[in-house]
Amino acid sequence: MNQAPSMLKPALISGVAFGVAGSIPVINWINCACCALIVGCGFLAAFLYSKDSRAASVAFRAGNGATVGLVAGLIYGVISGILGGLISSALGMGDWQQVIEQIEMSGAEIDPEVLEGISHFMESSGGLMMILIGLFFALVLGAIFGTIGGLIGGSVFKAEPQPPTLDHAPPPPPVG
Amino acid sequence: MTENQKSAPRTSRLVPSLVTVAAALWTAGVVLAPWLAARDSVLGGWLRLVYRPGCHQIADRCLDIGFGPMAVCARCAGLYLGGTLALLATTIANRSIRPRPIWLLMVAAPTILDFAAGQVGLPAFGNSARFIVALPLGFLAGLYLGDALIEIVRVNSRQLDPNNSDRDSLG
Repeated sequence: MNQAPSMLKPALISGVAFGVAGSIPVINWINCACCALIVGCGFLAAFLYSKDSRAASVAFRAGNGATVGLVAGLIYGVISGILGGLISSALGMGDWQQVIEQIEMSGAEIDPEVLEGISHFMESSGGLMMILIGLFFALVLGAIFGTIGGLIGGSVFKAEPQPPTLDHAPPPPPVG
Repeated sequence: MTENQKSAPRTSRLVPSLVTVAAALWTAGVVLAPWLAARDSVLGGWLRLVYRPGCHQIADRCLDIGFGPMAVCARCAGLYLGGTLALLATTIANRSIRPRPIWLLMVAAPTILDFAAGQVGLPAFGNSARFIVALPLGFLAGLYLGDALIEIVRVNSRQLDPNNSDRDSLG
């Protein structure tokens, strides 16, 4: 029985690559299309793991894709949550006022006193609270959409192990 | 179009059904949010916020079927509806429907090109065209999701069955 390859390598490659891309302003707009970057992260992780599995002559199934997609999505969440928060803070974007504007634009109603209290707390905590909130949402979304991408990748790239082939062909019959 | 169509055991229907119901509720929320908002319900605004992390929600890019702009853009609405229809088809057929991967590339190409055109300032599709183009992409992704779910349930139910000696070799 062959040893299954490690999931960490494909999950790390995909999670870090997409996490960095997802934290860069403008590029992270791709996530506006149904979190396409995160789904792509899980999908790429599944593809890389399917290649490793094929090389090790091990079956690659949808469940493997989901697992590696989940891990890649979580790595994506950590990278993009921290890096994205730092980049947003450095560029002066993503402050609490923008969040309030988005809530108001959506039409959701919040008690003004509650909103003022939260605003006061957010401003007193500096940018750290925004980074932590961003990290939380990045982790949740990374887990959900990374798994979906991994599931799709698991279905697209699934493969059964090849049956063992005979390395030595039978000797030809003696001539004469 | 399909690469393989396998019969799934009857026990595998529960999970795809639950996922399909969840997907249908998620897709229905896209229309429900403006419907509630049009009736001055506070829930409409909150429901719209739920969809915020996955969509830009620019009103001009959202379809409007009479209650105001939907909770997601036309492209996302197409993806959601296509995915839900595919999951429904998989659940009803109760078997794995797995298209060849080349189809995924083919149906994804128009949406990717339209997205890229919009980003670089080139003329892009209108809302209805965006919705129609995204529909088959969502449908294919949904078929793959349904296939994956059925396979996971099949493998797990086989492994949990004490009378079954046919174990999957996972390496």
